[in-house]
Amino acid sequence: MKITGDEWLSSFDIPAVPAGLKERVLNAAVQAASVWRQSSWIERLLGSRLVWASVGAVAGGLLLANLMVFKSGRSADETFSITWVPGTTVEKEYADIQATWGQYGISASAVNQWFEAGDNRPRLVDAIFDTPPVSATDELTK
Amino acid sequence: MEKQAGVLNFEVPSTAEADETTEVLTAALRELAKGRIEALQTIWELLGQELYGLALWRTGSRSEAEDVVQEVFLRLARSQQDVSQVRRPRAYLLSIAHHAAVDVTRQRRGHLVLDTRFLVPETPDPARQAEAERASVLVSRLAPKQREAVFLRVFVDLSFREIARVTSVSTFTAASRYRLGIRRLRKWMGL
Repeated sequence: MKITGDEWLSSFDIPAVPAGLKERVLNAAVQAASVWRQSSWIERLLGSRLVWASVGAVAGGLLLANLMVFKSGRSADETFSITWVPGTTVEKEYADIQATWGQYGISASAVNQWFEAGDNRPRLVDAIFDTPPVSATDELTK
Repeated sequence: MEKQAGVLNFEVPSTAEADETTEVLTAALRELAKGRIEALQTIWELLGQELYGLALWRTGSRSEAEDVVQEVFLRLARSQQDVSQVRRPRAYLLSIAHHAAVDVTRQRRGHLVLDTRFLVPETPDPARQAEAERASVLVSRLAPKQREAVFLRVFVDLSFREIARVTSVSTFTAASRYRLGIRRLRKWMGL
């Protein structure tokens, strides 16, 4: 897709590379390659952006997990089992729970009443995976 | 491409030329992976101008653009063994330049006065010179991301998909940046 304007732009040129830049760049690269060849594997590892990015990602993940544990007051295993569901929103969780209980003949409004009775989010998420106990079903349909 | 009065004629290569460029760049990267540092010379000859242009349009600064180009070649020199499997060498190298330019602008301290010489005339005609200066001022008013997308589309002839790959955004975003940039330029030009 071409829009009038890009043709106008392309009637010009781009400024040429400044004189001397080629020599400066290639000389610096040759020196860097020489230093790199003489370095040990551990120095290369420490100089790798990928390695530091990985370390940062792991550290960030651990920090985030700890913060979530701290905030929810639950153990790390429980927190991961609840939060490690990509793309999950509270609304979707609610819908899933309603659908799960709906299979047992419990209406969505009944489940909503149950939500409003004071059950907190982790318990609701757990309910997605748990078969509704008969006693709970009875309790809701009373 | 040939030089003329300090200005590089920036003609977009034909498909056959682009294929040939890709082949030569791929071969150069393989040579580099084998430790033959002189392969950098080939890469410079084929892509030095495009890398500099991208860096200039993204950073808006000639001195920063020079640093970006140098950083691209330093990264290549330090990661020789990793470049043998690169399938799209042009996009790969432009992508390094993009990321280096982003790094440079993040590290920038204080307010940068933009260089407004983004475009130059093809001929030394004074009227065209004045027009190029006016066009450069308009280009300098674009957001760097839009400027970069416009450059890659108009002067490097990349598809939106390729621009997306180079700049690590979605194809939709790349197309959007280009369209917005061109639309603004048209408005400012009174078209």
